[in-house]
Order: sequence, then structure tokens, then C-alpha cells
Amino acid sequence: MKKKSPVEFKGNINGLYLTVEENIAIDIIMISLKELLDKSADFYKGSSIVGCTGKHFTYTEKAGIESLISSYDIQVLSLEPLAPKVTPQKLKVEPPQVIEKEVIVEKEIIKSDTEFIYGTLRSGKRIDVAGNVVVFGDVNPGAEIIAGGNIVVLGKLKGFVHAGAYGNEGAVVVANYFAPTQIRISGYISVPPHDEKHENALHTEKAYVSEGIIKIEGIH
Amino acid sequence: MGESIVITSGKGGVGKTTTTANIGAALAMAGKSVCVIDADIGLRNLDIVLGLENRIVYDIVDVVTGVCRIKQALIKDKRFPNLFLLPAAQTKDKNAVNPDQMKELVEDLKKSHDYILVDCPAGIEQGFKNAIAGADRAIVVTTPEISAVRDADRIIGLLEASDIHDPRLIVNRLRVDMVKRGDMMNVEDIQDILAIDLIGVVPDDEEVVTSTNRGEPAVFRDHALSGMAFLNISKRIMGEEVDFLEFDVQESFFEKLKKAFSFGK
Repeated sequence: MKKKSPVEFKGNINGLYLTVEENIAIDIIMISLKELLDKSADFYKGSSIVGCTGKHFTYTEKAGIESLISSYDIQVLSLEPLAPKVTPQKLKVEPPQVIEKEVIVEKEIIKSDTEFIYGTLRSGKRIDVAGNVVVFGDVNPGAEIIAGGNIVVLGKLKGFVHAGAYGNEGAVVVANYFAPTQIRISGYISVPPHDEKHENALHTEKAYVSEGIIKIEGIH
Repeated sequence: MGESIVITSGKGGVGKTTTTANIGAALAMAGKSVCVIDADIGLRNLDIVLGLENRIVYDIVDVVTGVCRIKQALIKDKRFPNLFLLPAAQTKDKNAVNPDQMKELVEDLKKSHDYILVDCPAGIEQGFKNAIAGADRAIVVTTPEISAVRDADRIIGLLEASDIHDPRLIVNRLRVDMVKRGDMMNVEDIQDILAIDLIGVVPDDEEVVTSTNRGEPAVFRDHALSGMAFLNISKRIMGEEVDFLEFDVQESFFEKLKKAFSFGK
């Protein structure tokens, strides 16, 4: 008997979506996806992928999946977790499904933990978590923090940070000394200004997304 | 039982070999039994800096592969009876030795010497891993340049991950005139980023170039400022508390200029 593939196509009213088993390595997922596409791409040709359930992917992983699927003539409209709100058009079957998904999404948010890091993050160190990160120390240039949630640095932030990496635009980055090499929140990217006045200031600052850009302001 | 110290940096060309040669010579001058090991297999330099390249018969790869005994490979410096060099191989590369062999070798040498200094190659791969195997302590060398400091930061992270804690910092090739003009990082800026204890500051000195070409470490020449700095570092390694040198002494004697420096005592 063939083992169940960790990647499958499923359909709902809005279109095709991808279900991916959690806790499977990205390279195994890419291989299984390719096998699945080799087998069944003809059947799905011309349709569109509207979402993805199960494992959370990073931006670079999503880009890889999107290019692989597009190469088989299947359009990828989105790889975001399926929106619980489905346009109620016909069947009574849909609403119960919607409620189930809402509960699952909430549970995942509640479950996401905060990772505490004690000590300075030196150049070359990379932290990648689904939840929040709190660093009791500095983040040196060359160090990277990628978090699905918020990032708080109780020290000097001079490295690279990406908060809300899985699509949460409400994520914030807070640091006692705010001078990252580059900051990203969800899909927004920014390089903070380098001015003399700013460098000497040692007050806590917060970065957040507002009106389509990343804004940085002091916290008092 | 001796102590093994690895001298590393990450970045190439910052002065690891010069430091190893000079500290080794200085410790030997103070009466300690010192063995310096060149771990840069394939690109050996420590023998040249010490002026001992003509006397190489066996090297470190011969020792770990059993071609000869350690004592046969060690070169005794004729200028100082208690300074020994274990040269690297020039015709092989870093994969010829593995960390376990290195560890065994260093442990063996610790039995008969007070200090084992390992000259680490640049980089973070096999050569680095070999050099740090068997090290009790580490000295990280950097120059006051942002690229060297970035690499030093990485190296310190890797050292901590390999359980070598509390490395000491040497800032090499400091140019006091450039620091005064604000064109070069000062020692405090570097310590701010790296956050490890300072064990020495060595000024940029032309003597280092001439002494390397002659095969005579700068510590042998009394008037070299860099030589004095290395001598002080060797004293601090032996546990003495030595004030850090003020490098402007030769340039200007006005009090207010002295106050413009900020390297601490």
C-alpha cells in the first residue's frame, strides 16, 4: 500500500487548495508536491489554488511552492491559510466547515509561544520561531531573528529582524536601541535612517506597520 | 600540566601568526617552556615569521599519521632553548588532520610544556575546527575595521558554541592618529560590539614588516612599540596586571592631547 502523501489537493466552493501535513521538513514537502503534480497536474490544469491549510510556510518557502505549481499551468492566487469566511452561495454544507476552521485558527494563535533568549545574539546566529521572541541582550549585526509574532530586544538591536513573518501585519518590533541593518514586518521592508542624533539616543523605540509602511517611534 | 591557547580571528590577515610568534617568544624569554603549533595546513607561515623554515624536517601531518614521533617534529629555536615550533605541512591541506587527532596531540604536548599556542587559520571550516580542538582558552585578534570586527563576533559565537568561554581580545594594528581624527574605530567601540575582556592593544608598526622578513619576532627588538605591546600581553597571560601602553608618547607631549584618548587602564 502506498503511504499517504503529506501534500494533497482539496477542493471547495472557491477553488482548489493545498493541504500540507504539519511537522514535515520543507524539502520532503517539495518532493511530495512535485510527485503529486506529475501525477495529477493534467486533471487540475486551468484551475487556481486559493489557499493552504496545515503547515505554516515562510515567505521564501511560499515563493518556491508557487513557482513549482505555476510551472504545471495551475494558477496560484494565494497560499494564505484559508479564510474562515466563505461566500455563502449555495449549500448548507459550508457554514459548519467555516466554524470549524475559525476555531482551529484561534487555537493556533493561543498556542503560539514566546521564545526567551538570554545573552547576546552574535553574528551568524539565526532564530526562527512561529511565536514571539524576547531577547535579554544585544542582537549584533549579522544575527537574524525571524518570528511569526512580535520581537522585543532588551538591549541594542543591530541585526536583522522579521516580525509577523507568516503574515501578521499587526506584529511589532521593540528595542532599547533601535538600529537594525534591515527590518521587515510581514511583507513590508525598511531600512531605518542612519543619523548622528539617532545614534546617540538610547531610548526605546517601536516599529509597526501603518498606512502601508513601517513606522518607527519612541516609547515613553 | 600546561595550558593550551588558540589564537584565532575569523578574518584573515589581522595578525594571528604575528601574535602567536611574538607571544610565544615573549613567554619563552620569561623562562616558560612554550610550544607553538601552526594549524594552517597548506598555507604555513609561522615557520617563516620565526625564521625557522630552513630547519623543517617533519610536520604536524607526519606526527598525526605516525610517520614520526612528536619530539622529532618539534624544532627548537636556537635563540631560546625553551621555544619549540611544530610546523604545518605545506603540500597537504586542512583535511589531512581531524579535531580528535589535534586534541590528542595538544594533550600530549601539555605534559611537557607550560604553554601551547595554536595559530589558527582564517575561516570557520575544518581548519578552524581543528585548531580549537584541545584548546583551554582562546585569544581573538581583530583590527579596528568593521569587517574584521564582524568576523570576530562570529568567531566568538562559534567559540562559545564549542564550549570555549571567556575569550580575550587583542586589538591589532591600531592607528592612533586615525582614531584621533575619527576615521578609525577606537578600542571601546570594538569592546562595545564584541563584549569580551581586552588582553592587549598593539599599534600599527613598520617594525612588524621588517621583523617578519628577517624571521625575528618584534619582541626581540627592544625599541619596537609593537614588541613592547606583545611583551605586555605575555605578562598578562602569565597573570600579571600590566597597564595598557599610551601610544602617543612619541608623537606629542601636550596634556590635553593625552586626555583625548580613551583606552582604559
